[in-house]
This record gives sequence, structure tokens and C-alpha cells, in this order.
Amino acid sequence: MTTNNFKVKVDDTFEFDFNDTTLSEIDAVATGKNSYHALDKSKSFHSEIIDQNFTDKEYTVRVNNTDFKVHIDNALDIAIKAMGFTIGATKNVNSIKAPMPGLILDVQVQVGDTVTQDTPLLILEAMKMENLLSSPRDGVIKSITAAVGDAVDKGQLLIEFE
Amino acid sequence: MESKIKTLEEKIDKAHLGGGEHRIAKQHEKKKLTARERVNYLLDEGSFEEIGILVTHRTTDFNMDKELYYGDGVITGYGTIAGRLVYVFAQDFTVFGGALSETHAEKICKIMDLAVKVGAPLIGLNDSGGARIQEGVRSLGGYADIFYRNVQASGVIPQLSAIMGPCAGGAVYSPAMTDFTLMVEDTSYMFVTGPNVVKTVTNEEVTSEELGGASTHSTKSGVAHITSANDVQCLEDLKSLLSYMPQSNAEKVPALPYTLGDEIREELMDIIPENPNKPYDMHEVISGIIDTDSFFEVHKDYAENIIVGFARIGGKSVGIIANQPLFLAGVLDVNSSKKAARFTRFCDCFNIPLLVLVDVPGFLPGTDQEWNGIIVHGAKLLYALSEATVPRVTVITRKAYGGAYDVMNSKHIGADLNFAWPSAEIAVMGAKGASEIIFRKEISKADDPAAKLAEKEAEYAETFANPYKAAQRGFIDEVILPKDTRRKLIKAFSMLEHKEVLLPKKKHGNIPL
Repeated sequence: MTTNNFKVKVDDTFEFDFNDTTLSEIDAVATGKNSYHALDKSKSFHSEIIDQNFTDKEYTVRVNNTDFKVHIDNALDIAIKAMGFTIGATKNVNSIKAPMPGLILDVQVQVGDTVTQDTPLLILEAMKMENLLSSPRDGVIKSITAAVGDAVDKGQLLIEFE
Repeated sequence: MESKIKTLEEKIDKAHLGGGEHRIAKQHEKKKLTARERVNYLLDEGSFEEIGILVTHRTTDFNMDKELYYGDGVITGYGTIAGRLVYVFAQDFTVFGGALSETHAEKICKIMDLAVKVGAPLIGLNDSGGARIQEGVRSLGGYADIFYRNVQASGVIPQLSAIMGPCAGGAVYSPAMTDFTLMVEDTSYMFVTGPNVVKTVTNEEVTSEELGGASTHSTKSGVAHITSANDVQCLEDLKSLLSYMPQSNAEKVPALPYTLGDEIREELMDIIPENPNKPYDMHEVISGIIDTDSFFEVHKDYAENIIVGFARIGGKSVGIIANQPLFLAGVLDVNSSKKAARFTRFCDCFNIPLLVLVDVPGFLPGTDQEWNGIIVHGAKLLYALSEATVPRVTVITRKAYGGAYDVMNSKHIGADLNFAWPSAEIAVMGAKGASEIIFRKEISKADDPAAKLAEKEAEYAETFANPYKAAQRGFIDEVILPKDTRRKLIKAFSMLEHKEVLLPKKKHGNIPL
């Protein structure tokens, strides 16, 4: 059968690799529902799982009265990390494009201005509504390709960031 | 016996490798998980039970009998997501590029039949080069067998499709007939004919990404309901989406435990700007009404003048349809009508109550809209809402003008409870236009027509740009304070929970398609 691989991280510092073979070599005996006794080089270790979070795969293990935080990745988790997938990833926005067709009523920044997130950039009038476009991020204005009075199409480039 | 067990183990091991380690590595290089990895990530750990793992194809033409892979390019079975039963198929690109054969299709059909019989959702993870050409018409038959089952299952069990690789030609029609299509950015594309054929037929030069990538389908065509940054995000999105749906049309929506607390939301009091020409973000209204962080938006980047999505109010799923004043003043047009109509019908199929938030100036004027059939498409939304028998509640936050007032879940088309905020303006048209028509003579005869118009406009606005004329008629059940909206809605949906409507006997209605 296919072998299982695990990457175990202890207290966010030490990393260990295990697979089915190395796991079977550990001399451990269950002494209770969540506790084990292990022998390593004739030294005795009592361990107990005192907290577990299945979804995040995080466990707190007490070994000889010291608590360790343990995170266990299985083969699939290792593969996903290696491929660089993250959840909630967003793309960096480098330009402002017209979200809808309309008329530029006002431009409130100049080339070279340093803006922070939510700084008002320009007002686009569409359907009699004055839509304020604000900066999606901190940055410096590289170019402005729309002027007051311009009629713009949806998707037309308005402002670029450095 | 020992050797027989060994034979079985060898077969299973071989099946688990799909098209072999080399092709798995290639799949990973393309930033794609393998079919088996996807299924394992999607389902609760250890819950997957595979059906038909040892199936192989039966083709002998073109020496195909020399190339046999267990599973025949698709992994099928069942498992659980957050403890709820689902059926899954995942096409395996490492085997014949995930190409669909007769047997491949048979495997999918087998679990589709089970899903309908049992009444549990079906999830398809698509990653396939298309029909297995060596099989000719047999593979086409396979597609049609799946299409037919998609339609039979439609409205009975939720069907979700994730496009996690190519999906071209006939293959696109199965996802198109399911309830929701998710696409992964950069690694997936969908089209009826690829760039090469497009070039020969129409002389257009276009890349796969431009023609049918995730961004194209989520912004231009609306084919994709949700786009995800990568495989893992896509599988997480599938799980979230599913959490709002019942197992089948025979069940009520899932409910999370909820205890009524202080449901007053002060932040809703200052969302509507003083100036009627200033937009505001309807998302703020939505998040002020629903359970914290429970909004799952569908068609986020398509027809942004209307917002649709799922949320929870007091722990229970609702479908939300809301005009977005931030985009084209929240006007109704061809695409937004289609988007909201389709969403309405999904919710109605699966007993998900509807909440409609209204701030609409009317239908979008212009030749573009008329020539593209806004009459028929606008009618879709009107039809879909009129037809829906789930609990339906409306809140008018600001504008509700003209025909769009009727369409946006008005009392007249069967809504159960209609609320309005004090900022609501419910009238047949805007004050300026209305005064120009009603007082035309009076204005033209005045010494200062502009001043007269302004005076009449103010008079009209005073009389009609409010919710009270509609409330007098009973078209609005109650004018409520914005901060009290959430409390009112929790009570309204709970009061409507056992709503039942008997429709006149018919085969099916004839929605203006």
C-alpha cells in the first residue's frame, strides 16, 4: 500500500519528518484514551494529548509535564504547501480602470502624489450618480489618463500606480 | 488467499497512481492538484468511498486495448463535507488527459443516479481535454447520458461544477446545466470551440485565457459564478457554497444554532447619504443585516449593478438579491436581470427564503438594451420572482421607481412582507421628469420657467418621494428604522417558515427564455 508521509512541527520551531516505517519503529504503548508511554534509548517518556483541533490539525501534547504545540501536515498538506497555494490570496492592484461607462466629474490627485488606501481619487458620474473611486491600496500615482469632462468606457484605464 | 489479497492490493495501488508518477509531477508543475488530492481535500478526512475504481475502457481501435488505466480517467464516489453526504466525480487529467470515454461517462452516471435516488448534492470536478476521440460517437453518447441526467436532477438535488482545468466542446454543457460553476484562475478554461478553430472560422486571434478563462467568464459572459485563486481556494469555496443549501428539494435549509440577542444595528442608520445623487455600497446594508461574515457572493464581478448571494439571518440560510447603487446607480439591465432571475430560481428550487433589498432608479434606457431584448430579459426576473413560493421579504432602502418597483419583489407579485426605510422614494418616476410632464403648461407659461420647474419638482418630491403613499395603500407593510431591520427580518422569516403555496396544476410554466 502507498506509504504515508507526515511533517510535524513542534512549537513552530522544530520540524520532523515521519513516514509509516519510522512511525512503526517508535516503541510506544497506549496507557489511556489519550496518553502514551514511549521508550527511546532506554529513556522513558509519558505523553498525553491534552488539546486537539482536528480542522487546523493542531494538538497540544504534554510530555513529562512540559506542554508542546504540535502541528501535523499529511502528504496532501505538504504537497499543497510546496505548490504555494494559499487561501484568501488577492492580487495586487496596479491600476484603476473605469468600473462602468460614465463621465469624469473630478480628478482629486496628481501624478506623483502619495496616496493611502481609501484616498479619494476621482469622481465618475454614471446614471446621474456621482461615484467616488478611492485608492484600493497605499502607493504613488504614476500616471493619470483621464481628465475632467472625459466620457469613459467600461474597463478604460484611468490611473496607474508605480 | 494471501496471493489473492496481494493481487487486489497491487490493483488498488496502481489505480491510486492514475496515469503514473511522471504525469502526476506534470500536473503539479501546472499548479494543479491531482483528482485524488482534490477529492481528499474536498471531503472530510477519511470519508471518501470510491465506486468503480477498477473500471477500464473497452475500446480496441487504434491499439487502445494496450493502454488501460484503472478508473478510466475519473474518480467517482461519495463522502461527507462537514458531515453531510455528497456524491463526487473528479476527472483525472493524468489519464488520457481526462478525456471522456463511454465507461468514464458510465461511472459518472452511476453516481448521478444514486445522488438523485438518495437525495444528496452532486459535485463535479472537471479537468478534461474533451471527448476521447478514439471512441468516436460512443463518447458523444456518454456526454449526452450525463446531460440528460443533469436535467433530470435539476431542481431535485443541488449540482455544483468546479472547472479545474480544460473543459471544451460538448463538455461545457454539463457544467452549464448545473446550478453553480466555479472556475480556477489561470489554470482553467471553458469554450465550445478553441482558439485554433476560432482562427480558421472567424479569423480572430485569441488566447485560451481571453476566449474562455476564469476572468472572461466571470466578468464578460457570466458563465462562471465564482472564481477562485487556486485549486485549494476553489475546493474551500465549494464547501462554503454547499453550507447554505439543503441536501435536496425535499429538505429545509440548514440552520445553525442561534439565540436571539440584541439585534439593533446602529451602523445602518447613517448609510444612506443626504444627497440623492451620492451612491453608497449596498454591501454595507447587507452586512448590517446578516449574521457576521456570513455573506457568500455569487457572480461578484458580473452585472455588478445587482448583488446576489447567500447569507444567514439568525442562523438560517437566505438568498439575497440587492440593487447596487454604487454601480450604474443600481439600474436594472439585461445582464443584471438574468443574473438575479437565475439566482431566484435556484433559491426557489431548494426552499431558500429570499430577501430583496431595493434601491433602483428603473430600467436602463438605450438602443443597446432594447436591441438586446431588455423586455424579454427584464421579464425573466419579473417571472422568476412572481413564480417563487419560498418566503419572500423586501426592504426598500431608497429608490423604487417605475416598472422596476413592480419587478423588485413588490407586494403585488406575491412578496410576503414589504418594509421600507424612511428614506424610501416609491413613485412612478423621478420628481424632475414627472413635473416636466404634469406641469408642462404651467411651467412654459411662467415668467421664470426654471424657477417654476424647481418649485413644482420640490412639490412633487414632497408628495411622492417617500414611502407613505405606498404605506397608505398597504403596498408597504411597515416603514421601519434602518437599525431595526435585522430584528424585523429575523422575526419575519421565522413567522414565514411554514409558508405553503399550492400552484395551479401545470406541466411547467413558460419563462421568457
